Amino acid sequence: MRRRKSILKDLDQDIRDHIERETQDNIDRGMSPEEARYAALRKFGNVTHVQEETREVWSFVWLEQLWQDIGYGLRMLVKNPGFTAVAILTLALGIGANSAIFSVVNAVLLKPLPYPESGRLVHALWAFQNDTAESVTGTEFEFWRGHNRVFECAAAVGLFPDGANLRSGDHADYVKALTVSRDFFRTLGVQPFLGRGFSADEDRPNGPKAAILSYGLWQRRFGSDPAVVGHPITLDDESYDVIGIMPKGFEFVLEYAAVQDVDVWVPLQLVADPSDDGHNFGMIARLKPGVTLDKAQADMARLLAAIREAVPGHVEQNERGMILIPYQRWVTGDVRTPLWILFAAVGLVLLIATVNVANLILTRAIGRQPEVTVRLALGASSWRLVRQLITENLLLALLGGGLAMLGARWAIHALVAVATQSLPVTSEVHLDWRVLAYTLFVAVAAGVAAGLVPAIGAWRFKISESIRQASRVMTGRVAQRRMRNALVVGEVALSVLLLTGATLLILSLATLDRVDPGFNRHGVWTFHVFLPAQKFKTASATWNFQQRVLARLEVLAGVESAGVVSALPLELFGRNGTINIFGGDPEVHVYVELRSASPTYFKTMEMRVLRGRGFQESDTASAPLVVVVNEAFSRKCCADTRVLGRQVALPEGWKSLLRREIVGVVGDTKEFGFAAPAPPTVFFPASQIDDSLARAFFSSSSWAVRAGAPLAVSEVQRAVAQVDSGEAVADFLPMAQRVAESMAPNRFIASLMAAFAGLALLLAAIGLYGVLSHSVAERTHEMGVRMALGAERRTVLALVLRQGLGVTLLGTAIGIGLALAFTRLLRDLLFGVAPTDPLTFTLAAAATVCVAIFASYIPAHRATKVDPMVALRYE
Amino acid sequence: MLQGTLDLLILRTLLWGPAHGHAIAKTIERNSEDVLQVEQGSLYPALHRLIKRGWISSEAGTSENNRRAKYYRLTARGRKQLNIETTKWDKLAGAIARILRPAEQEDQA
Repeated sequence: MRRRKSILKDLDQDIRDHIERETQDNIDRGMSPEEARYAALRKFGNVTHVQEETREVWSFVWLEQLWQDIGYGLRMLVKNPGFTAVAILTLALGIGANSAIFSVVNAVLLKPLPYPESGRLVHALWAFQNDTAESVTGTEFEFWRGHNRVFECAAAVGLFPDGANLRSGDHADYVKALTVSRDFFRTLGVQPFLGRGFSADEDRPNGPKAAILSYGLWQRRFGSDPAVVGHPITLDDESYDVIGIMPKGFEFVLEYAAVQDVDVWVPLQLVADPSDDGHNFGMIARLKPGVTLDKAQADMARLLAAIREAVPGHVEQNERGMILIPYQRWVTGDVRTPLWILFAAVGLVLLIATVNVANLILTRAIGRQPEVTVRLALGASSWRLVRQLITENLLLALLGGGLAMLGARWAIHALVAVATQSLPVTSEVHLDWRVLAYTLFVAVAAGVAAGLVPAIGAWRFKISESIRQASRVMTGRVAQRRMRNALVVGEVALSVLLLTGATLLILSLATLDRVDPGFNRHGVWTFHVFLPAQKFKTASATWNFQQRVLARLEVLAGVESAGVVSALPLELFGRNGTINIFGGDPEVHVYVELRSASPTYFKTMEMRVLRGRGFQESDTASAPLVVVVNEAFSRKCCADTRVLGRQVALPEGWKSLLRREIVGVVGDTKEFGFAAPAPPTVFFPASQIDDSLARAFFSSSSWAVRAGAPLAVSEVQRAVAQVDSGEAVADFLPMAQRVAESMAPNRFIASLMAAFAGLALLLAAIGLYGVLSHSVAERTHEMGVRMALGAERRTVLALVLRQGLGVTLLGTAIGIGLALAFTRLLRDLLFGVAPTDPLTFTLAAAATVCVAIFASYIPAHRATKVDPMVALRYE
Repeated sequence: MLQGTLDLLILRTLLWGPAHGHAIAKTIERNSEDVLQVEQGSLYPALHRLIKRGWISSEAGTSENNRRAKYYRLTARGRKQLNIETTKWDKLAGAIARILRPAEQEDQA
């Protein structure tokens, strides 16, 4: 660089010397001095040109020109602050929305799960005749783990949220525990960063008690003290040796079992009992290197045949066995479609924003015609001019992108706050290099696209034509007006599409919200109390504790009733299994949900007793054994016969095989979400279960309290502590909030779609407004003439409105066509609304037309204010 | 003039010794008996191209009539390059000549 400067410094002098010598030579040959100088100059050629060309030898010309273009572009942008602000804001909105959604897509769908070689991880489903379970039986797990040829290792996870009371001094903390088989950490490929994983001995039934802590709990409760490893902690009055600490950020997602934020891992110590057909274990496995999913699946078929032979009767003939799906796919299964749809929607918003900016640039291009003409006439190449324009637009886009990144930080924050309820976010959502690269890419693409359309349009007409300034190049104008109208038609069409989608989703959400779940979610507060096996060994201890707590709760101010149940509606960890029904011909056994509840539970949730009765205080342990079933059970099992008075019993495998009489039928409750049908359910009275059932049902107990006034968690905690100071209240939430959370994914996508559709409509309206305003300004003269010739204001108003309406109606028609083609993609996300719901389409179209009329009215009104005298003098 | 020919001519001219720009132009014209009329301006981009490649160097000096002037001098690399370029040129010229006058070739043979 320095060399270049010093060499070029003398260039001017060099050239001057050269010309002087040539002049002198010419004088020597007898020319007059003046003649001699001209001849010398002529012979030398264009001095400036030579200088530039010589400089080019030394420089990256394009780089210098780029700097020039950027400088020039910046000056142009500063000179038109209004245009610049609108264009940058529009692009920033479009790009920012994209970056925000992309960051979620990136974190959830694109980034591999935070386990080494996570592509080899699979999750097991169990296929029955018609449906599938996301879990397997203990026997199936042990058989598959022992006899497969395709897994490097496999692990089972207990599906029931095990809370545990972590005790220190006289204070108990409720911590989340997860039971896992010994190869759990090896399967995921993540080992404790301090200490070790579980040994085979520790996973043996009644083996030594060991625990592995999460990084968070280790930090929170043990002050990050490494000496904790090897020392005992007290969980539920029992001593566990801490053998390891998991690394920071380790997270395991098993969404249906609500096992996020696990604090403590303890060995599963699985006892595989072939007579237990409860699908109570999640199963993950790591495929051996090089084993494809197809090959693994073939081995599953072999194992199905093998288990039928080895463990007769455990798997029924019509069961189709184990299905493996990639773990990542399984974790993100529910959100894949919604996320891609949101991503597409936000892409459309950006498209509309880009079109708007293109329109702005196109409009401005007319104002810049003289400038362009002069530059072309002065010898600028048209490629150089196009480059200049594109540079300007790229500047706009990059400024917009920069602003978008500032906004996106905030938007992502807001998004994550909403999304954590609806998305399985295993890796954190944040701005990483991928999001930055994506934003840059989107910004550049938008900049080029927004600049290219006007550039092509501007270069259609010839320089010579534009030089004839007087004619004002009407042909070019007509072509441009057409292009601008076409762009607005596109904008309107896209916003109708988005609006239709958003309306469908909102209607679905509203329909879902209006579904009768079979209970009254309002005025009910819910919470969990973990009942450790050591303290609550017997059913009577459990029921005694529950009764005493219920009594304390019922005397709290404002409380109408309180009940306890093994799992509330929408809590996905309820027990299930087969139950035998007697008294019919033939005898049947069906797969049902199993619950245990206190007599007050139905009343507290305001569930309806349809036939017979609910539980009563008189259903004591010594009274005749009873159950209550729900409507779905009655429909499925006893459609043609009576329900009341028939007997049911749990099958072999349960310790409790006693027959119980059906004494009542209650209304269905939406156990698995408002959109899912209510499952057949059998309720056991909490007062009439034996010790084994008490453990099965009430390792965690769910409580509901109906109160006229808001209930404070401190009051509830005090009531529980009065009965047993070692017991902690967890997950204290109004039932209405549990319901809202169950719809969070629907609400998430509906509200984002609504926001994007609103944004699209706003942008389209601005686009329409801009085009009409410009057209009115262009036609001021014509309007003046018309009005001078006696046209009424109404006629002028109608003239402009008609132009706006024409564009809008065409756009709306195209948009409806697009919506008919694409709303099908939403099918899985809709509830109670058809993808081609006529009402929705009408609403979306009507809303668009209304907004368009409003956007047209302002310029139309302005047109009527044209003073004929001023307009005629114009030009 | 053919692309690169001017570079060759400059190198050849400088073989006689360092010269300033005007002198180079004049020498090329004179030695070609005014057949090759260099647009003298085009000399300068060519000179700078050669400096950049390291085939010639420039230095300040004083001319015949005691005026300051910039002199261009052939470097060792430039000398080597001149050999290569001359050989190439001879081959090219020969080849073109053979195409244009095939009969003469036969005559000679």
